Amino acid sequence: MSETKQVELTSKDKVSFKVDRDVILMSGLVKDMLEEGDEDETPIIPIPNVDSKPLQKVIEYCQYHHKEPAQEIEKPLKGKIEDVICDWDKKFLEIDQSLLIELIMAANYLNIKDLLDLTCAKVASMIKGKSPEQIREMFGIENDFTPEEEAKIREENKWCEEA
Amino acid sequence: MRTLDDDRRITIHGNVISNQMLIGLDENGSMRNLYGLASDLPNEILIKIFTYLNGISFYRVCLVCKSWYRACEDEILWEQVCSMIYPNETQKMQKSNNRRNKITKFKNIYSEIVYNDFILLKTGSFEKKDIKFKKSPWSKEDYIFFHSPNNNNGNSTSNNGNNSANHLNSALVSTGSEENVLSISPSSAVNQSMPVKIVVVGDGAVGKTSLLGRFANDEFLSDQYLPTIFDNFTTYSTFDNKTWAVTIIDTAGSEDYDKIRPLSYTGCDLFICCFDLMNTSSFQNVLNIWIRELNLCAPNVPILLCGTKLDLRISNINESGSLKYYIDSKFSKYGVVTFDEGVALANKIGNCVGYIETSAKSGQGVKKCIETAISYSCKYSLSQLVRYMPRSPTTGSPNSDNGTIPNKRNSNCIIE
Repeated sequence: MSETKQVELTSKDKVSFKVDRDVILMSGLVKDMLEEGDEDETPIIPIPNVDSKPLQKVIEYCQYHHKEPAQEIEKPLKGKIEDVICDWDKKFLEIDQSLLIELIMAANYLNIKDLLDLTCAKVASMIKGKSPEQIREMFGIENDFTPEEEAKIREENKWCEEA
Repeated sequence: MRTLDDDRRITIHGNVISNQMLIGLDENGSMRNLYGLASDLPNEILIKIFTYLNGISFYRVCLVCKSWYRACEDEILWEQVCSMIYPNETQKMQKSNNRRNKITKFKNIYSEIVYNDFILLKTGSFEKKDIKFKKSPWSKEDYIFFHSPNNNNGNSTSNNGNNSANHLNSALVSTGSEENVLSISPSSAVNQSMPVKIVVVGDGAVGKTSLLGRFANDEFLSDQYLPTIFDNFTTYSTFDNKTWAVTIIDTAGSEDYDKIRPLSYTGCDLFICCFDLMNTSSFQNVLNIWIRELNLCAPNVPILLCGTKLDLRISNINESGSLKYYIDSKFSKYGVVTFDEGVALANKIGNCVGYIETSAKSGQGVKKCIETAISYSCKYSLSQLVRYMPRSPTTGSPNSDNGTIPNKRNSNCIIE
């Protein structure tokens, strides 16, 4: 264990995680930071934008996927996302929605492409086949259109309603 | 310091969330403070999410809220979506520098894809690879404009701009400022015009797609035969001082698609029934199959009879003017159809509006054929309108002053 170099990540709420260096190199951000910094025993990297909970998930993902890279998810999604990802990812995505969104932000900030793809595809899969009202309800988004604006957009996209 | 293992245990035991919660149906109603973050997602992430969408759901998301709408209008998104399906077209379009113009074109391309998806969705029986995404009808950098789509930009057509993008530009300028996303309606030309629908039918391999290809792109691809399944393009035309958005739909001739073809007949204003002048069996099938099918699925809709591959017949005419019958020739295996025979057939069909002979290879008669079809379809659409209006004054009256027609499509058989 002492052979593998470790990195210490500190989340926004000051929780530290010790991670193998190889694992966290999946993050483009951490990779860049490690390349810049000098070789400490265990370099401490603050992640000021990410809470401990999503960070924990991110590390979990990296630990699994740094050995077996995830398969690329085909665009556009055909069917449900569950049909195209591996079992581990399926389990991994069994999280509540706020964590999912936080995870997206974390993946974006830490620059982990595969995780960002996975989480974005998951959101897309949730959106798919739902009406605007359902989507709003699902994500708790306020409708900030005036009725006229909404009617206008509906009119623009009328052809797809016909189909 | 907590180690990772401790934390994981907490996560697994405390945080396995049911699917119910994922869709916001938590029983204690306390989910509200947990989500709500989705509206704060930055634009680039929204775009990333949307690239995984397809078809109709793509359009639904732009109705969710303003920031989502803005993401939907983003050029990068459209470029990505279209480059997955039309790599060549997209590259060509990237050179064009008008942003709004580009998005409109991407959307137009995308609308085709949605239609294709729709057919896929309804039949569900054939694989994606079976659907041929053919070269976009817009490859000539623009729609085909017979006349300007509205009066405001009438001069743009008269200056005969060699950069055909001008047409679209001027049409858009008249609709509002470039800055305000919501005031611009890229499809405003469509909104102001009345829709008519033309469906092209006929036996397999008679040249339906070639006919439309000659009309839309002015090109003829002689060396390949790619059976169509479903294809459509839109053009604008004026008739009776109104602008019409003409959708021309190309169908599969082969009997494998007998079941899905009638899906495209809904709300059709005219059929172009094609047969091969060099193939008498396709000529006989007009009466035996096509007219029968059309009368069954869409009675009273006018039909334009159209003979194709005229160039082959011409090349087989003797100096003396009489026809040579090359019984064993590649093309005239079944003999040929003469003009008189064509007219006789047209007279036999009750709701046939005319007979025309065309050649997609030489371009002869093609323009006339489509223009005739458009004018008759507009006439038919108007006559339907007159009949329809008194029956539903509620839908007709609020819009009657700006010339919008009630949605007659609802009245016919519904594909669902």
